[in-house]
Amino acid sequence: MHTHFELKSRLPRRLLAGVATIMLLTAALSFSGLRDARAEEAKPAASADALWTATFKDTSGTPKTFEGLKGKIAVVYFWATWCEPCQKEAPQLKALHDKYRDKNVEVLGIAMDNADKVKDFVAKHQLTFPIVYGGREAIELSKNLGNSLGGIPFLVVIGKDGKIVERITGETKDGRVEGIITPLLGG
Amino acid sequence: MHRRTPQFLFAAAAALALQAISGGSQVLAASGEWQKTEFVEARLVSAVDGTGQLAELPLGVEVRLKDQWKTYWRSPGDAGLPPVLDWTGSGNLKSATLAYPAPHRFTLFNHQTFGYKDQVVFPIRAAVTEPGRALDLKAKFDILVCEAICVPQNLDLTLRIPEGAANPGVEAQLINRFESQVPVAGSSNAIEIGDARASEINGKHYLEVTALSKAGAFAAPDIIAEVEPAAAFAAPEVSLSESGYRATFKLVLTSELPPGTSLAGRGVTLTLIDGAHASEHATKIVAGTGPGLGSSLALNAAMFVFALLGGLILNLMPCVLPVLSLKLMSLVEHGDAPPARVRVNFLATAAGIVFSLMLIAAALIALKSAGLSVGWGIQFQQPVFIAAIAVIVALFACNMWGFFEIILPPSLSNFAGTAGTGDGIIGNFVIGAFATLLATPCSAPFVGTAVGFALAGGTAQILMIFFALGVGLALPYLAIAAYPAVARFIPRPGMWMVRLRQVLGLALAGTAVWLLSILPAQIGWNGTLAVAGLIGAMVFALASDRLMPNLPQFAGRAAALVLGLAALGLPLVMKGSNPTSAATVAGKETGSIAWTTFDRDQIKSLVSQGKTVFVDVTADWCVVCQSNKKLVINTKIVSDRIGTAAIPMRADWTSPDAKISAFLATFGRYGIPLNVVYGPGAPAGILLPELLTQDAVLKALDKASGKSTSSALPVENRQRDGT
Repeated sequence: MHTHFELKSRLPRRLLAGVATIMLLTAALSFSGLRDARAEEAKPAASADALWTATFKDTSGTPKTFEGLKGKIAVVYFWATWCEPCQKEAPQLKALHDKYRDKNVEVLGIAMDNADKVKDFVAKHQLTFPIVYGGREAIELSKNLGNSLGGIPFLVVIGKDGKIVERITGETKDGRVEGIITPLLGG
Repeated sequence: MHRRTPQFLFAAAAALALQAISGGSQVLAASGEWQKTEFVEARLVSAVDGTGQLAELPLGVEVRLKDQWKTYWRSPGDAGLPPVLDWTGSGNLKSATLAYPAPHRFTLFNHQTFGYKDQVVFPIRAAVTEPGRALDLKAKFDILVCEAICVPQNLDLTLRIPEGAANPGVEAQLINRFESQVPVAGSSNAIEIGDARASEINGKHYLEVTALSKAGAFAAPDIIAEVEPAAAFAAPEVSLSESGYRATFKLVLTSELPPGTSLAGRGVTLTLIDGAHASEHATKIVAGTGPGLGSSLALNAAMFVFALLGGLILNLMPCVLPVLSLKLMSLVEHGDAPPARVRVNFLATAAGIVFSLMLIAAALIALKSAGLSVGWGIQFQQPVFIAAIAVIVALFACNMWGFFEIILPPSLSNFAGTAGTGDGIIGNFVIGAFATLLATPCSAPFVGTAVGFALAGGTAQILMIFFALGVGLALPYLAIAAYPAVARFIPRPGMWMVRLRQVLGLALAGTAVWLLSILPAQIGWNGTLAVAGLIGAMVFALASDRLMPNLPQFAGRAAALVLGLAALGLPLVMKGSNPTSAATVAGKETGSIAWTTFDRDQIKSLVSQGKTVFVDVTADWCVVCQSNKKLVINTKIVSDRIGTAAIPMRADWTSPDAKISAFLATFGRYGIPLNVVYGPGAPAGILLPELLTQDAVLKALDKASGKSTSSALPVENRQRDGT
């Protein structure tokens, strides 16, 4: 009776331990997988490929492409002179550009506007970072970079590897972009 | 076939049901489908269900925004984009003109933008290529909506307005409600916008605008300046006059101007918004001397000159002329008086004029401080006052005719003299005050402008303008005081003087009659005739010395005293018994019309009974309606006429009302204000102009009642239904 009891009791214990281990492993794996999936869902179009093929004119009318941004940290800012929230952020972008221009960080403004208005705005706010402009194609590009609403301001931070690191729709709190690019500088 | 029968019946039943539904809700044709995004929804709406024979259809694009989201005006300000409608692909559309209701000012990060939140309808006037045919509207509607982000939205809107009667749809009221918020252009509305003056101080460019409110004090006025080419301004500094009727706006330019240039000479559209009132004025900016001070001085100086001229011209007005005549008479009678005496006498009269005008100014300032409405000659709205002045003028006439002489005790007469003969300082001073009193109900060129300026301004302006009026009115007296030798050129006293006195007496009697003619509006004809009878009897009693020499002198005087006092007291009694006299409160809206509720069916039967009907279609949100009420309908002359000669009917369209909409449509109108007068002389109704005038209303009442055959009314009558 005793032996039999021991046999009976040992087998389920091992079995239980094994099953528990498998369950824990499975749960851990599933959880991590789920978390990755969610992250992926929040960040569609991880690559900034749409930007490399785009062409927009600068305020002097010269067509510009952006392949030169590859291998750099790029802060691409979609804005317009008619956009009230953008009016506040333009000086912040200027300060960011002035601070990081020698650290392999490029700030690019893409205005959904016409050249004259952009020129006036640039002069008024003494903006120093490169600015190009466009109409619907600018909105389309922002959508291709993950701006599902098509609204502005919309800001994209692209890593040196050409992958989109962060997207911000609406107001960007002062210092937030800096917080995003600082860890990228070393890598 | 067996199977098809039930299907056919079902289809027929469905068609009938649809027919019934569409018949019961033709309103569906008056609006397109809502097109929605996450932040905004929009649709086309029409005030009519069918195109009828209209050449131009009243439409609108209705926009509803998500909470806290906004969209923009035609000039959005420092940011934003105006709405754009592209009608490509529409059928039978010749042109479409979009109107913009008065916007709100939004201030964000020191940026000024203008636009709308929650809901807005942009009224559209759509001209058709072929009237009578259906109108197929297809619009690409680009609208920018913003909150923390700005999202350009592109919506495809459609609406088909079929052929058929242009009956009003349920959206007619909605469209008109927003149409009434579109700023009114021109100076005929409640707010008058003055010139835009540019100045530069310490390198800053300013634009200064002054506006006057004709319909009550300003509440919280704001002004938007759209300059060509575009320029941006900070929110204006607004200063209101003490009365609140005049507002001065100072806007500082925040955008850059090319060096060496100024705002002067540029075109500007000024939009002034004060609560529900909005006014628009397109003009050219003129160079000013500074933001306020210099130009205000110029304006004040100009008004001073106006008041001076106005006062001088007042002497020639029928109400004041007798007083000047009295003084001239005294000059004639004392042609041989020493120049120094003539000078003192005339200076005393001039002082009386100026002093009494300053007293009036002080009284007006006090009334204004107490929050009461004031105006030129408000005391003439008091029947007792009019009767008293009529009695005094009649006494002067009697004096001129020699019915009695005012004899004072010798000690007093040495100093005071008599008013009639003009001797003595006090007597001459009183004559001056009397001239002022008689001048107040009169107006003359420049007087209205100057007094209006004074009353719209503050204490300083009132004192200044009334002083200038006094000096102007006193100028003839001052001239004689300066050159008393004029008296020597007057012929020696003789029979001609008796005749002159008689003529001047007649002029004074005429003044008394004119004064009495004001009374019926306040105490009715019976009361007026009674007062006139008593004054007439008073004159007769004073004349009794001449007519009945045997009668003791005191009897006639005593009777005259009693009759004169009775003439004064009668209006007091009549005032209380007359229902319309309550409407004579100084300068206020009378509002005494006993309105009946609009009943279209009743109009025809009332007209067939020989009655005149005045219909006023109004709404709380209709700004022009409120102006019409204040400036025309509720004025004493018009409200009295409407109250006594017509049955006043009021239709309140504040909320949608199908019957009122249908009534409007019979005149080809889909908006208000609308005023119509029916009567035996105009059974089909006389449509009055949207901006009413007293003359138009009174003439229409006359014509409708059959009293007048005048057909020169400046109105169009487009009624299609004879009611």
